[in-house]
Amino acid sequence: MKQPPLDMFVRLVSWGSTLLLLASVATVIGFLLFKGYGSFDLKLVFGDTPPLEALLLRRPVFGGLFPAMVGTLSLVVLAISLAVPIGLAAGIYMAEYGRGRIQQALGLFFDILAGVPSIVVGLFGFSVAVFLHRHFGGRIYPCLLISALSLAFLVLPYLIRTTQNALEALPEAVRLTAPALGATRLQNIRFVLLPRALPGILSGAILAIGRCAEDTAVIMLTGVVATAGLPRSLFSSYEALPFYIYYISAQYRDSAELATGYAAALILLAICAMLFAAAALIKQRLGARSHQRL
Amino acid sequence: MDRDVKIRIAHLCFDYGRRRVLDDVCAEIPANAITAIVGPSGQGKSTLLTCLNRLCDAVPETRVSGHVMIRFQGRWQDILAPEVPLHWLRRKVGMVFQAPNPLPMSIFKNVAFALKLTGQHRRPDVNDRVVQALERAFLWDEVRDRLHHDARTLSGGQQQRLCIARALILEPEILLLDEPTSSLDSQAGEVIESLLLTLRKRCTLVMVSHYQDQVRRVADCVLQLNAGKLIPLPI
Repeated sequence: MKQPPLDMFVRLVSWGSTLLLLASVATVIGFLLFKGYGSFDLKLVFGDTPPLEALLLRRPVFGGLFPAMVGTLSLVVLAISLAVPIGLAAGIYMAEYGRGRIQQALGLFFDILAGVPSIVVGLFGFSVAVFLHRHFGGRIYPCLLISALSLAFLVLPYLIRTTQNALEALPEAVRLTAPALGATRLQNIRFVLLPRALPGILSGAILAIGRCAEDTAVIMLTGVVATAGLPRSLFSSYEALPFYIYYISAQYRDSAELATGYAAALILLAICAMLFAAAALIKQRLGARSHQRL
Repeated sequence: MDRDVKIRIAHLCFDYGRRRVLDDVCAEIPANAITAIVGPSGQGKSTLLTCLNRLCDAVPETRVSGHVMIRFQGRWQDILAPEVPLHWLRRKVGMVFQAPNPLPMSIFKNVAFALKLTGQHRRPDVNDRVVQALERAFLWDEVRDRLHHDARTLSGGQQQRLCIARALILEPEILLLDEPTSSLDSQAGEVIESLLLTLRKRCTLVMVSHYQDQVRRVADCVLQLNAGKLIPLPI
């Protein structure tokens, strides 16, 4: 049977949009590869330090991207481990306990929070750092911990909303199974609802990881610097890849230096891909485990 | 006759938002018998059923009034009283839904799940009770070799019997069934019907049914709902 013209049109537009998106992603990655491939070598990452010595943290790396990679990784891990428990708990509250006006008001609040530009979150983190500096004998400066807290604040609304949506999307039949067997509300959430909502919750976490890894405005104001070496503690300044990219693209001296910026972008993409893969693996493992254990 | 009444419903009203679903329902449901609730669609049959284990509490914007008295081990108790612990009530009053709803886990774990909720973990006890529940639900012979397979690989009729086994493992005094055969073919439905007839000895069954012949075959007592009002009809 011949398809009606409108169906054909919708199908064509959908295909076209998908292709456009794929083409843009391919173009961006291709462009980065083309520009950055030339300067891609171990020297770019480790400078003049032997790679093994650097990886074992025996000798510091100067003039390489290694400290920025470690900085970005620690930043993401720290921010996500701060944000996920709070986001999960708030999402559970919104979906399972919150009712009526309070729930609506909180929902609006989280949506507003999601709309706050990252530079404003950065300014807020900076103000916190200034406040702490004044009140704690001048020992606290913008640092890794404050950056991670600000980033956690930035991604919280996503985590809360995705957790809430994933839980609320569960069908009534799933929702009532355990209560009909005498489960308390907490047992229902723990044994049935959360395991079933896990894929949705984790896709929120993946989005949050991406956001933490790429955000520049927040960290610029809360502790990242151009050269700091490996982060020494939670209270030290650090290097990060997005800031390096920004810094190089703004202040490069020659085309070779600019090329290292492209290579850094590629490394950032690779780190994101690695983190996504780790999240997907956790998703798979948890799925299999909840299937076995329950 | 009082000794044989298990559930006594008095002036039960149920409102969903502004709509009155049950209007001054009064009825007595006999012990160790199958009582069928019949009537046209959307007349509150399922709602009446969920008032008996207060699963209706899970739905927002509802209001219940009246009394539902249930005799637990000789003592009458109004289960609509706010102090009744819901998890205790629902372990005494089991429920099986219209569509089979096994959890995404193995057959064994599905049946043991209800025990897990009560905090019973002793492996030998749990094993014995799972086997017993599966036997009572006419499922043991079909699944004894694949207890650790995913429950969702079972056929529709088997899944529904699994759900019955899961409800039976807590030894409920009352079993509520919401159109338990409507999603199954006639053969699977017949197996469930004969299962229900044997369960009568053990507990009181209350079943919503759409099928006249089914009601005639299995029900000892029929309650007809129409526009939220109840008319008892002896068979």
